[in-house]
Amino acid sequence: MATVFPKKALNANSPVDSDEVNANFQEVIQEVQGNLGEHNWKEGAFSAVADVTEGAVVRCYRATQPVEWYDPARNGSKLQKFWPLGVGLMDAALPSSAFKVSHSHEWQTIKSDDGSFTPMEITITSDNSLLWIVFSCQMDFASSEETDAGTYTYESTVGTGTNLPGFQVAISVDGSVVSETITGSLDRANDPTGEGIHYLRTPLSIDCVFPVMAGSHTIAAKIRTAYGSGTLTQLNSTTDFYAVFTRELFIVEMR
Amino acid sequence: MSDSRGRNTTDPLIPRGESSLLLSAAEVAQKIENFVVTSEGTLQSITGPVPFIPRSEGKSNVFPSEYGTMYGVYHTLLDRGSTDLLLLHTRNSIYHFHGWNTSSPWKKVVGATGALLTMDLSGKETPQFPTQFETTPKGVVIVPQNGGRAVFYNGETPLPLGYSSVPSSPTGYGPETSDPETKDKVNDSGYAVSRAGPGYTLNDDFGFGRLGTVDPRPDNTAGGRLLSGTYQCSYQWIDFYGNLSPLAPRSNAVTFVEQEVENSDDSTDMLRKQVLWSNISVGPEGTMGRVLSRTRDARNAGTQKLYLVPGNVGYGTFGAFATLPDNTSTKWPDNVPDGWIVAEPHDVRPVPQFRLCRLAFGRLWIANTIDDPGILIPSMPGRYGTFLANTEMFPDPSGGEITGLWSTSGGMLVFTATSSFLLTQSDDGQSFRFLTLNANIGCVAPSSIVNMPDGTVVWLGREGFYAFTTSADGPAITPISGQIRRETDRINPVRARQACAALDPQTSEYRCWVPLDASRKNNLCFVFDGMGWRRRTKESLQSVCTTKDHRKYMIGAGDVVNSSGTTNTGVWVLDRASSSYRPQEATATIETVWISWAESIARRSGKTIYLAFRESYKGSAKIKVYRDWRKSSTPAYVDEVNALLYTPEDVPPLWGVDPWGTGEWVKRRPYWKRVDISIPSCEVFKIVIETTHPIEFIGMAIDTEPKLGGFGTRVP
Repeated sequence: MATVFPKKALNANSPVDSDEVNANFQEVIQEVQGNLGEHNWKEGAFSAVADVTEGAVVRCYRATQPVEWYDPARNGSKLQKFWPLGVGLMDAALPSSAFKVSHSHEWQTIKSDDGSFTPMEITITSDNSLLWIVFSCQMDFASSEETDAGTYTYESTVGTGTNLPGFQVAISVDGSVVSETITGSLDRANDPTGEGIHYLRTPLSIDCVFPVMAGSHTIAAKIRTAYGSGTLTQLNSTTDFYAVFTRELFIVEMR
Repeated sequence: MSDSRGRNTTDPLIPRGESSLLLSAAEVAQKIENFVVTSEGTLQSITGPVPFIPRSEGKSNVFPSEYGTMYGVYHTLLDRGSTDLLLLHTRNSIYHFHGWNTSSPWKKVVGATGALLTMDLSGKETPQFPTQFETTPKGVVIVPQNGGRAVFYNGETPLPLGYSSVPSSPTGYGPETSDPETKDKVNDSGYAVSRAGPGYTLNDDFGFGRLGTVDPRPDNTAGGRLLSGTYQCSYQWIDFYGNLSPLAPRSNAVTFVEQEVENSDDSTDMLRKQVLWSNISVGPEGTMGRVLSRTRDARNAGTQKLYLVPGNVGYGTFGAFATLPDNTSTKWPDNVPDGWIVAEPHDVRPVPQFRLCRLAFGRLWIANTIDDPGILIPSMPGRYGTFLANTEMFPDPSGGEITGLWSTSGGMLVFTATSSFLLTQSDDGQSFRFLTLNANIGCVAPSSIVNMPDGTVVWLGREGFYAFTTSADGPAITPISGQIRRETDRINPVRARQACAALDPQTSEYRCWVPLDASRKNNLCFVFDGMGWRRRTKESLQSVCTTKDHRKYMIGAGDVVNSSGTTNTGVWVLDRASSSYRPQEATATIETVWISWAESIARRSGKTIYLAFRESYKGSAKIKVYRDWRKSSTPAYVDEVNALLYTPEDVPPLWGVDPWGTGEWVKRRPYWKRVDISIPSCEVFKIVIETTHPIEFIGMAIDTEPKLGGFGTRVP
């Protein structure tokens, strides 16, 4: 752990005792075999990451899922967004790697049942340690609005829709949402768009430092649609929803 | 040589402890100085100490310029043992050992300049306790004794422990009334944020205000109304470690005047208001946020109490650590309804300047404040720098100065200089009670209190050392230094409070350094192994500790004389040796009691001493024999050559003498050495064995020759 001192100095004219000599060596050997600590290396001794065995200080875990915003094969041009459509009806499919947020208002882990994309859920086996958990994503949406009271034609609004309530994102550890990571508020009484944030297309990042006991832990990113008021409670799940696009969850286990 | 048939040979004497009594059995010694008992039961002269900072990479200054008068040294482990924390209080600063930084290994944590926390701890030479340290689950509490405030340190961030000052009062802003007698001119100006009244200011996207008590009056054709009401606010700072400040004085009252809805079918909720709290002062260094408290509508709620206000930021629950999670903003718009505020704030007292502390029952107990030496105050559980008002206790009804605190099985020992108490939890677990252990025995030095391996607590009192034990018969205090009372009476009573002690985990010795006679420094160490007492003089330590890690070192801060006769002040590892630093070799001494008074009525002659040594050095010890109660400068017999510390007939390989490979290294052997002395016709005699060479003593036997016949014996 720290500086060690020999038990016995060898003095001139003194008999050499085998046990005492061995004790001096044992003192050092015991340190080298697992007790070396911060005091045993001089400042700047580690100048490269390669100097340290992987996992000796921190362990990192990561899950990422990119989502293509363009469909060159279909539109032939990267300038054409393929979802939501810039014009026309909602005839385009959600990219398979995007995650559509349910209207159930329940917390959902960002993963698919069929494994079609990388889940934002990581199970680790840790020591007693602190976890730094970071989740970031790009949010998008589809919404319809009544453009013609007579026809009720729904069009993609591409960022101008106002008929969605907010959404909330959070980090969960072993199934429990870490309340400090929830975006928005729990107070929905005064806000027509509910307790969530209402930036319809936005990047966001949340994080927390969470202590865990030794063992297996499941860390996940979760999302839910907030509960709006008035017409915002009457949503068409085909045309009005949030979706999680490119996203990343990483965990640093600080040992 | 005399005929051996006329001689009496004593059984082997194996003294391991001292007695200063005039009449003592020969199995104890008058003095055993600078010896430790080895794991094999022998007495071995002490080695070391060595400076804590080793020489490295050509840097030879093992006594950096930071060293000066030593006030405290302490070692602990934090973060499940991953943070190795060695703290030193010297001169006017507190340092943290950074072993990896060979050019400047002591990082200044607290000091007047260039420190992580600016605080002048200018030293005083008046008699005082050593700096006190206590480890909590969150960090170390450091209590300097010379005027500075207690500091909390987790290895990264030093902060004053809690808050010693009270935040200033906030200012409340709400609606003002231009004409109370005109319906549409009440609550119509000032900070008039609501959805009612002329030119209402709350956008309908944000709903209604939430403060105020409304009366819907369903049977009144004029519609509902807002009742007259008042609100007040207070707040507390909260620091990095979760400690709370005292509550700020309450703000001015924000008043709502009775107000009716404009249209009879309007919702009365439109009348509710939002208010603004301003002048929420920024806290001192270390403050992470402010916790607001507010009354409910004091005119209608039936209570004037303050309640915690949950934060609007984030998730609006009490889980937030503060209402304002910053230390920058000074205003807070308040739209939290009365129904949301349910928990009362803690009534916190400012942290006083205190001298002693101890962790017990999950709380930090502080005692002996500057204003009230007899006071004892518990912290909140888990908040070691937050002390609630009206929780103080006075163990000694006469208000005697508290001079020691110690956690032990069953409770916490609380001492004054002349009395001892045991603090235990009450039967319901909600409070605490005192048991008076002894109204005459106390403790004079808080740093002398130590737990022995068997659970016994040992400390220095006014009349010597005492032990506290618990058994089936209950707790008891017993004196344990009666045999060395003549020595303990020499402890400088004025400076006894600066005594320091620790248990050496290697030898299980209790070692207590005390100022003897007129010394201003701790210049003698009393050693207690649970059975007897010894002493050591090699170090003059003002503070001592043992490392909490596997190394189990005893580390002291103080003075050691080197081989050149120069006194070095530094931090030392005891009982360790190094070739890079040579302290002055202390004289290891075994002095027998006067042998033997019970037979002195008939004189006899001392003839031979048989010394049982273990080979330790190619040299000899000095033997001095005194007679007839006279320990004069001229002993009756002196021998400097025959008490060999090795066996000439079986010389082992010697370090620095024998070439490599010329002998086999094995364990050192014990042997007997005979030294003939000539002490004719004496009443009593005393043998002194002393040497500055390494020595390992096992025991001795003595040949005496009685005066035959008995006629003509003179009794002086």
